[in-house]
Amino acid sequence: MEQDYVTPSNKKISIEELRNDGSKQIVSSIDSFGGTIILLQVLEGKDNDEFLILKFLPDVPNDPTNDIRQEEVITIITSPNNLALPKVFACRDDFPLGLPHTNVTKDKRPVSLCIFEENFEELKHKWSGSYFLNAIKSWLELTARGELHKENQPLEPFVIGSKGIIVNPDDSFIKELPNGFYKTTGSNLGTPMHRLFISTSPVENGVVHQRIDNLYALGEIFKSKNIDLLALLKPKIIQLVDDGIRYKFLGDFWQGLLVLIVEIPILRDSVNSEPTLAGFKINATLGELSSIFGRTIIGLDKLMRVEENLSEGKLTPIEVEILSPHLSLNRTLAQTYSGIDAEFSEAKFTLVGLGALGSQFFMDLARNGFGIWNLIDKDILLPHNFIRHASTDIDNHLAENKAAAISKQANDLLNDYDFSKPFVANIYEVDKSIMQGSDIVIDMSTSIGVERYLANEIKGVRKLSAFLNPMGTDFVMLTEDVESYYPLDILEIQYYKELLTNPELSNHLDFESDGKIRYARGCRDITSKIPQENLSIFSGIASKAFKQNLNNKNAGLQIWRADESQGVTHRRFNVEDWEEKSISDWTIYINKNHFLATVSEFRTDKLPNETGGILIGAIDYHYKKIYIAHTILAPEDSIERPTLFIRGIKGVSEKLNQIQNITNDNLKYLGEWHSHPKNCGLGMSGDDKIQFAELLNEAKLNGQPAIMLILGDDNNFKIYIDNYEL
Amino acid sequence: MSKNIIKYYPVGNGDTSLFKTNNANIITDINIREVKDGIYDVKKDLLKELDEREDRPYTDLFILTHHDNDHCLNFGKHFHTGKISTYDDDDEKIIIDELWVNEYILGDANISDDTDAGIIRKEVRRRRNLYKNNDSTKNERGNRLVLVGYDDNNQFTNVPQHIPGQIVTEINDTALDKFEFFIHAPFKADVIDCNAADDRNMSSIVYQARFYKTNGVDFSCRILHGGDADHYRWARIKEKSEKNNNEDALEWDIFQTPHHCSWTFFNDTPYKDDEKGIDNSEPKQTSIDILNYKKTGAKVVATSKKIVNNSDNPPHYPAKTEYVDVVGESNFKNTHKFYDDFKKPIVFELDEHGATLIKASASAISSGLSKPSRAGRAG
Repeated sequence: MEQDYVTPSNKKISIEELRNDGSKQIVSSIDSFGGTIILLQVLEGKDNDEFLILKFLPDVPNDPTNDIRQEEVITIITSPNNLALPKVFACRDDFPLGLPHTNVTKDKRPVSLCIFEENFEELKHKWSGSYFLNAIKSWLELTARGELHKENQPLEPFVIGSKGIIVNPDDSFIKELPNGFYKTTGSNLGTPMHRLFISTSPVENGVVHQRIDNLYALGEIFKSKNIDLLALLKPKIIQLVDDGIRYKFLGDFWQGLLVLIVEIPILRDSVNSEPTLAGFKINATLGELSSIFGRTIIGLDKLMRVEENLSEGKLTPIEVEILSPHLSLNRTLAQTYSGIDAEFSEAKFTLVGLGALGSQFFMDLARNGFGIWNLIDKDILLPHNFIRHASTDIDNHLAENKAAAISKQANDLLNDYDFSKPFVANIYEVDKSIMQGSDIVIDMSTSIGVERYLANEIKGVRKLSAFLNPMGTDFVMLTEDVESYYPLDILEIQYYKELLTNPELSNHLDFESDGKIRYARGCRDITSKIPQENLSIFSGIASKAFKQNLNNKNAGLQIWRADESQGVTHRRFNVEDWEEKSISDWTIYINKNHFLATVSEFRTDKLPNETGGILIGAIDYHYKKIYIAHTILAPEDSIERPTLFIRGIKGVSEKLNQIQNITNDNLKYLGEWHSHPKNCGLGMSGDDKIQFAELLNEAKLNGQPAIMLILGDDNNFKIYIDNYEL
Repeated sequence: MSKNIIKYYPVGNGDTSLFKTNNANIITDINIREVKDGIYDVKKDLLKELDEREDRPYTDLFILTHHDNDHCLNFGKHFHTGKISTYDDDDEKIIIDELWVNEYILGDANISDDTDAGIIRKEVRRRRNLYKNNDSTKNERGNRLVLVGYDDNNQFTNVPQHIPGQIVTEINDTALDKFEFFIHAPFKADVIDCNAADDRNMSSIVYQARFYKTNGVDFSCRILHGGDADHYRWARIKEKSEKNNNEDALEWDIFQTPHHCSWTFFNDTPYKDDEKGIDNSEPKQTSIDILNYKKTGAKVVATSKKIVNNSDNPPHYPAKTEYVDVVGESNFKNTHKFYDDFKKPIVFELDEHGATLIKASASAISSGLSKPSRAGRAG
């Protein structure tokens, strides 16, 4: 909004004669300020503007930071239409210049106060005379204390322009963008615009008040801040001219206009300054400027040194446009605007799987400028992928590799070609050192195979696996501790166990809303009917939880669930301890906190009788691992005596079905366990041997090892696998 | 305790001021008039500002600069005297934990028992006797007494004493938090003078009170407060302070005009009497020098009735002119004028930016700080 001051007439207006609604409201509310605001007079301005001249008595400290006085005369200008905020000017001849939150005007004085950051359209709903007067009084009081500009508010630019320039300090040329904007570029095709870069000494925070529209005025403004801009500019122009001659550049070079980017450190306090940029487009060609600054070019290949002429007469006709500079987007800027602090912001991450979840998770963090990434995926983008993939550039990315497409998208965005690197490959083909050199490897491949590969083959690096459930309503994150003491596979098996023991999660792996299970599918395959918004919700959660988990050294097992009213419930499970036993080429993991605790308690309850039940768990044939996670305790038709136990069958079939359904076949029948009485050994009795022989036969039939566990005193147990005992 | 404030009440020609420090409330002098139209209810405000102990209002310290009526009016009515055990809850009197007086309260033969000065004298004697007799309760709050200045007539045997040049950092055996006094007067000579001349003003306690910023090093506000001390006392204060390298104790952010903005601070009175050939209209340089110890933005507070351009003294119009010459019109504040303009006492709030004179009344009801007045049909 134009904030220039136009002197009013001498015609006084009485309170009764006030016509502008704003004036009436302001005047009628003065009384409520208890003598701290006094109306001195009202004058008529042009176009029926009314000038209310008021004395404010702000509460300012004896020794204010800025020279605001006990009494300040303020002019408020209201206009007949109610389309804009009244303008506010400080009338005192020596009212300080260059204060924060003052407006740019044609003349230095009177100083135009910027009372509100919001525009009138936003403010008009709460605007009243007293609200306005109060805001002016607060402006004076906070300015007096140097508190109007809050510490966490960004410093104000040196000058404000209506147009802008996007600056990448490494670029030498300028190109035009829509809407009066410019952008630095490395290319000099066509008639170039030359980019000159100058750094100045630090100046105080505060906007320059006056409008600057020519080169002379620009020099004067800097002079008022004790900076000789023209002296800084001259060697840059001379250098450009000399280069032009040396390299025999043609006409276009000399016809190029100049854009001046000035780096001005602005003092936040007496010690600390922060760099800010100001941009000025100088509407004169290099050829024209060269003679003013002391070079005349003859025939494009010679030049003559001439006396420089930086007189007002020469400089005033050269128009200058102020361009508000905006740094081009880079990682640092992205981090700043995302509130990313230093830790982990430069960490190396490897992400496996750039599908719907992986790509959106990655782009969330790319927009944070967070980390340095290896992206691994072998698949290409097909039309249906664009429904839920972070790339929406179907023109360019169709049939492109997912990792390559999204890597380019992120790198372009951040103008940083080291930010991410694609690996167009199956993970098993990628050099392990790529992953081992990362701070963490993230698996979003939705493949149990990938997760098991990472858990078993990629050592010495922390890993995390995250995926949606088939219906897309739940999101799971398994995070190893920093030492991978709790590896992904162990966390995965506990996750299945949690589905069994937390009834509200029993539908977690349902594939369709009717609850029907289809076989021959991976449990991390998601149905094709999930809308993008579920991915949005969970990729956001994934990014946030990921950053949080980086700061936590411990292992984690978390499940988020979005309900029908879009509420999200978060469950974090205590990671459980497992006992590890090896025999032959098998490694057996026995869940201590759940399984052993349950069966021990059950044994104690049943003493002096023996008791027992079914072992529930999983077997990884590839890595030769057996996970004993859960149990079905002795059914009611079992026979429990001090020296014998015969496990019954009542309800067992249903329970096993249920377990397989809930865990999508990931947990199942492994074998049998039974207890021995107090003070008895854990060796097989004659009966035990007979039973184990049965189990062996049965196991052969199922293609899995026979497993028997005998439980004794003090949680001691012995496991028998095939013909081995542990 | 709440934030640090300095308050000068509108009490006409008279003094009532309150300091609220981090851990002590301090009243200097009182002139509490009967409340009626146009008279500010000082007692009500004091009760609001002061803390309570066992539901009884108390001030950690009361400083009586001297016992002229306009410095102790209605003391007996509003302040508890005697043992704490005799406190009557119906009276809502303010308990004084520690009392500072000068020697002349006991040296002055012209005090009658039924005046406020007489009531104070009786209380001073009571407290004094506890010290004299080394009573075990002498150091309890409500019994404590300090003599400021010299004991010319040996009336204050065993009573603790603060002498000019001393910095006081504790009261009630408790360290003051980021606040202290520098004692300027009365000097021994002042005590002798007042006894000789029967002049209570000469006995005035003069101090510099100073609040520290949170860093504990820089001052947020220095107040020079001089009771009714005249220019002779101030000349001596200046001389002694400068001689002893205590110039910093002369610096001020707030100067409370001695003797209600009378001319006695600047020179002898009468100001001018052409018939008698008297001309004291030239201010003493020593007094101007004192004023020139002002710091940036310093304020003069004239505790008097409204100052008009006539021959009244106090307040004295030419005296105001002298003050205004030093600090500027907008930094000269008169308690009565301020009350007329803003309907409140002069209050300075202190913080890292120093003293801020608060002219605006905060909204109290809508911000939940004050009860709205009673409503309902029965009224």
